[in-house]
Amino acid sequence: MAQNLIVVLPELVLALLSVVVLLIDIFSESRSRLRQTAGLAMMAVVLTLAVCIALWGKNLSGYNGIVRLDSMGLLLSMVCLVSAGATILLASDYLRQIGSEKTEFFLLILLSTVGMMVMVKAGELLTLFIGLETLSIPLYVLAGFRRQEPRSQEAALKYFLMGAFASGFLLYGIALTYAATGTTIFSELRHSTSTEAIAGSPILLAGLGLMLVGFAFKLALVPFHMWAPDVYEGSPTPVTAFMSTGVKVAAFGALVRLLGGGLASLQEGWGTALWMLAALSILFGNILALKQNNLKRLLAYSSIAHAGYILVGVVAYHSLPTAFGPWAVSYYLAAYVVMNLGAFGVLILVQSRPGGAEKLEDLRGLSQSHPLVALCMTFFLLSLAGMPPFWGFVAKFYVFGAAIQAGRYYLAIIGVLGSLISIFYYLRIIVEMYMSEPTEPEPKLSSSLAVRVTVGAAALLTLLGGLFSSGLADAARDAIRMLITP
Amino acid sequence: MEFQNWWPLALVVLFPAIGAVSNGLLGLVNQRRGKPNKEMVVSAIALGASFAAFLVATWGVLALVNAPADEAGYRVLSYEPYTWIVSELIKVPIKLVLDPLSAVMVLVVTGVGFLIHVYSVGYMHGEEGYYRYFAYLNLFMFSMLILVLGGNFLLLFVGWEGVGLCSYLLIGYYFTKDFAATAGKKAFVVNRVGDFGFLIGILFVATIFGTLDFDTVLKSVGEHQAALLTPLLGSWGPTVITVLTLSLFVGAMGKSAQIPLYVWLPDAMAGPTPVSALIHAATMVTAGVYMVVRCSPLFLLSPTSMAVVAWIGVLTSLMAALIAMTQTDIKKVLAYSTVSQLGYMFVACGVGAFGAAIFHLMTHAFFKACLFLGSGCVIHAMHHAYHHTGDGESDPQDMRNMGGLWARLPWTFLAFLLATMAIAGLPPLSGFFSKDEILWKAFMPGNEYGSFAIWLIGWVVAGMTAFYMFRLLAMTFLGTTRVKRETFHQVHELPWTMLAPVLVLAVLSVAGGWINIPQVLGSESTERLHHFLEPQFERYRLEMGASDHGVAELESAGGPVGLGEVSGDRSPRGAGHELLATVPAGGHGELEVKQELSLIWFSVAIGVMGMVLAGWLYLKAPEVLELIRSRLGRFYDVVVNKFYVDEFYEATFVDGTKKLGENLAKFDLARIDGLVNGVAKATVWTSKKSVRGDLNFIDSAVNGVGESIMRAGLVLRRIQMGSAQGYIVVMAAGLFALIVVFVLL
Amino acid sequence: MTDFIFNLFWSMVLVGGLMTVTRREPVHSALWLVATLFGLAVLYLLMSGEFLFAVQIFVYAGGIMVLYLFVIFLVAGSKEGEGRPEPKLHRVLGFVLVFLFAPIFITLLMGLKVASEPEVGPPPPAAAVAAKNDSLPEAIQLNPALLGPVEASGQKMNTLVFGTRLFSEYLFPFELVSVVLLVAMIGGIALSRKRFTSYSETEEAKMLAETVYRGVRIAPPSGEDPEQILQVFQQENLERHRHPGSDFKVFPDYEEESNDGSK
Repeated sequence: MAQNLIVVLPELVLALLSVVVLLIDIFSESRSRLRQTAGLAMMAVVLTLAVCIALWGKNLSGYNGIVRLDSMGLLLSMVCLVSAGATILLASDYLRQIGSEKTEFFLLILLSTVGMMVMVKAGELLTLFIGLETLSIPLYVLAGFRRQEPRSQEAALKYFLMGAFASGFLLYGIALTYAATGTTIFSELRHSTSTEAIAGSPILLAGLGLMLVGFAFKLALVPFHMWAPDVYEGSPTPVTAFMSTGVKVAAFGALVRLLGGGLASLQEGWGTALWMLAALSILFGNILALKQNNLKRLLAYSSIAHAGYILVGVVAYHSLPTAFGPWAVSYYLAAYVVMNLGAFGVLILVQSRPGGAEKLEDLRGLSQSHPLVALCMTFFLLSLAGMPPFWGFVAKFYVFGAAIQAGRYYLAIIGVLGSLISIFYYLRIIVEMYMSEPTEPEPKLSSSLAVRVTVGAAALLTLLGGLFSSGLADAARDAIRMLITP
Repeated sequence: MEFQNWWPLALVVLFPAIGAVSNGLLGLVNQRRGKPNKEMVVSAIALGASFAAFLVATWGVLALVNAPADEAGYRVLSYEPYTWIVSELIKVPIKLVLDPLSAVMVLVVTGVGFLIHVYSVGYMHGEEGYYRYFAYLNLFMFSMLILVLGGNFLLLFVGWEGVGLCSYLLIGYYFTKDFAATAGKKAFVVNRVGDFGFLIGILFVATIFGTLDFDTVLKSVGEHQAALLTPLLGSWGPTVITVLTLSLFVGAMGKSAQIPLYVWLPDAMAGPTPVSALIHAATMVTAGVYMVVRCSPLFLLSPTSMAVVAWIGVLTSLMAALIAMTQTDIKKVLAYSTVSQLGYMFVACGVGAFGAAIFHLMTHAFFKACLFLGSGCVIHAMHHAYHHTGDGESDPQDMRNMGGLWARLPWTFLAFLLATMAIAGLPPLSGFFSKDEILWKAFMPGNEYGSFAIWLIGWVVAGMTAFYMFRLLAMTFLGTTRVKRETFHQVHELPWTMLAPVLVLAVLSVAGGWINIPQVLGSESTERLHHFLEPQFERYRLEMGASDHGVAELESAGGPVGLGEVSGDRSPRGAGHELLATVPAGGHGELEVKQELSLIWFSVAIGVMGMVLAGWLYLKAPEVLELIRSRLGRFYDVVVNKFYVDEFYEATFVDGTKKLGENLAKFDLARIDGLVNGVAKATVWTSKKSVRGDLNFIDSAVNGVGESIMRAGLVLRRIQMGSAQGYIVVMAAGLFALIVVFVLL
Repeated sequence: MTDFIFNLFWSMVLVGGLMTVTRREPVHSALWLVATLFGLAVLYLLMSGEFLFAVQIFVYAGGIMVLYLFVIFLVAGSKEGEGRPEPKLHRVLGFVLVFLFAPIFITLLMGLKVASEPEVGPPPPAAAVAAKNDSLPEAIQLNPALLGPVEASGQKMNTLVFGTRLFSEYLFPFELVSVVLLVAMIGGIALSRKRFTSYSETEEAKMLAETVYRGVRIAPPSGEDPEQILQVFQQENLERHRHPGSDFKVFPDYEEESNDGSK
């Protein structure tokens, strides 16, 4: 009993705190309700983070293996929480700027995070699915949070339609998998798929394929990516930041658990399908990003490419005992979340100035008007491009290293090629910031401390993560060593 | 061999880093306060940082010389603060290594770097973004030092990318000028191609050797050589090594501007002249050579790679020299000359004379930096003169507008003359020794990597080098001036802060070669540089020898090991090392001495010939020049236009990529723009349906927009709805493809 | 007889599904969907899933479909959705894909017959259920007496097994669904609640002013004084009356206000 509760303690705490925040919010008479709720939500995130840290090192299984509390789950939970916290910090000022001061924003972020945390800890298909829905529904609403903005509405609609479609695929896949194996729990799946008769059944393969499509949609992998640029562009920028980080963490966490834990014996099948998706995502994501002038679209394509790199790590799930592949995945996710959030933070800062928008030209001459912001952005972009010595470089190094270890050299080569292409469009932004004269004399950026602190912290982490990666890596790896022992 | 832990090594790297950061921060703070930067402060920080790095580097080299050596005489200092990357596959420490090879490089980088810092103080005086320039310059020093001190491939790569970035930033320093931005971009693009090869090479190394540490990798080349070539990789062994080394060489081609990736270097001259001197002549562009020398044991395993390196090098040097003979922009001539000389260094690598490559790298750093700084003086002086006379038209870099400047710029002329003689290979200046060594090693009988053809081309290029350099000298400093009278009188010698570095470099280009006087000419203290570098190469050869009996047998059977005997060794490993290793004085056979001496005469002769010819054509007999030009006709045009390589690239790769990008963008954007408008109307419509109270708002919207636009909006909305369906269709197609993959594979 | 009913209703599901996706009139689509759902319900019943049968009827046919129809009727009257030509390419691609998928699904169905028999079918035997129950933590173990009937009448107690498993083994996902519902509620409120915090839209400012006057407590926008807002609004309104046509812009004030720049 107690163990069951401990296993789901972080989710429980966060969900309860969300309700508390909701109640305080409803009865609040404060004049600055927005800021108050943001602060409370932030406290909820921090408390949950503390719970996660307190639970660190535990390796438990609850509700008959339906939820697992292990190091990967905790690590990725914390990454999700960081993403949520950063989003809250980035959003409070932004919401006022867009004139959509609804406190529900923070509640939806919190509850969506609950879904993410469930997903990365799920040890069973239905739990995974419900986690996914808990994650997605708030995001559908959040995507349309700029109600007066047509593109935001379009984004919400599109995200909802596509999301429903993907959920359908996933659910159908789950049903077929259940039909073939008679179980939805990963450990039992692993057991039952080890027999030849079941592993070879077309039903199971179909189920696997449909589930992969569902995941591919959520992760915006080519060719299931087409919604992503539209949705990322239309959604409010903090939501885009949240979507492009938290959702990816959750979906990848669940994918690693499902494929590595439950369906490891079908590695041949999903390995082949996934490496193709990875290669396509890396190449198309990067090439399509080259021509983008809208920064949010550009980052959307870049995140498609990054999903591809991370998928390389999943594909490298070749040698299970070393768990190097999933470890590389977790590590990359952590790095990616930090640098991507940072980049979006800068975008929010830039958008905060009067008339500031999200076009590439809007960054023109930023280095002269706001040198520190420009410097932070340079860090993020170079890190995203995988330039040493930033964190992104180390993360890429691990992922490609995992691919090589798994004997998938071609993936490593495609990955290297993709990151070289990516340097061009990241550099275009840097050039715009450093090598062009500002269009207006003194564009004033928002002085919101929260946004600045977030951006600065992310920049610092991006640099330090790269310089002292082994310390972080050690902690993370110890964590993943205990991963998935169903 | 235990690595000596010597912590001050970190200081060499840290000083420039601190300089860069503090200059950058200072600039930012001042900018925020709206105060101008004090040039004094900025230059004091930058100069202090680079000079401190130089001092520590010198200290380090002295410590290295006095460090205890292993039985092979190999000395090394290292500093390993912490482990950077740990993974199942590989462990990469932050490890700085000062061995003889990096010692030479560090001294060149910090020494020449410091001089160029000093020069920059005067050159950049009054430029906008003064602090930015020095921050970049220090950052460059930092990256370059990481590159040469890095003890593993990954740190080398970190430095490699760092110098690339700084080079890009500094080429585009005058970003308000279009050509500078374009040039920067070009350098960047071309270098990406090289980096791709380099990264693939690193991945290969990591996979095959399981480590990226230079020492471990190169040692295991010896230990596992047989395994590498046969059992481990099967019959693919040699091919894998060839692919590996060629991948690495592609990286070197990009960074060191070799065919076909040389096109960026001439354009890189858009940056400030001191930058051209430091980055695009003396240090960064030689990183490729350094890397090949560093990996020499690997390259020696593959005769194919060695041949490729040698031939790419020699062809590049020929082509660049040809182009340099026709250019009129003073910096362009020097740029092509740099490409040509880099080709020479690769020839040295390709024929197995790695020590000679480093030697030439060093002397080249001296005389080419001197030439660039000298040309900088000329340009600066001309620019000021034009400025004073209000002439905004004339190009201060065009040699056709110069001539006779020696009278106005005597010191610059002196330095320029010495450096020109050095690059032309006139004894006893530095270029003479290094160039002759390369040519001799290429020619040397018994060197299986050398060949007569390579020597012949190299020899001809030596003559061409003398020709275009004296052509440059003649057009700029000698003869009757083509400068307008009033302008000419405005040309003034530059302040001593700028002249001093030039003169120091001139002295170095005269004397720099004396540390490695070939044995045939020498007395007691010959080939000091080689003696210094020898253990570096010896180290890995010994390891090989120990594991491979073949070499030992050959050596014992071949009697006294001399340069001439290497021919008997058919394995790819011995020869190069024999070349590097300086043999005892008695090792020279009679014949070799004669050959080497006569080759020296040959090279001196062609050098003098080129020089005299250039002087005669450009000073005494311009009509003959015209005649030659008209006779050459078409060919001359082709050369003047740099063989149309840029145009060819533009037409094929650049346009091709652009088209691809545009088509893909079309695919992406075609639907989107319409959508947004469509949705705007759709929103109006939905709000009309659902929002109860907003009648005024809607009415005004509807009226304002007008019926026709509403209709257009509806059409667009259809497209939008269609696009959502389209997405689903594509998704379904993707699912089908996935199933096919499942079924087929 | 069972076979006949089975065949009848799966045909109904199939036809209903096809009609749903091919009708142009939304109401027709919705009604065909009802037929499909009903057919499915009967199929559940035939597989002795009484509980699912009931849920299907109550929730889907009864609840959700009624909601659908309400929405359709509310939005109806607009001719927007009618006669909308679908892009040809999509239609062609759709058909091609249908023909591509058909063999795959047929193969799948063949596979189902072979593979599924030992797996799906009767719910787990009572002994297994009991064993599972025993393995559960004590606090959520069921009263063994409850499990009795399962043993007695095997398949009939589908509902009991369903409930047992849902509230024991699958307790966590079940509870999680409550979070989903909470989320849906908050989301619905967030979407539908009027935005009253900005006075840039005159109508909304008016509403705000009204609510303030009526004494209903609604949090005012941070840092803004309601009285002042009202004054601004009245001023604007006056000006508008003075210059008719001065507000002939699509989104009169957004252009200054929305800084996130979508222009």
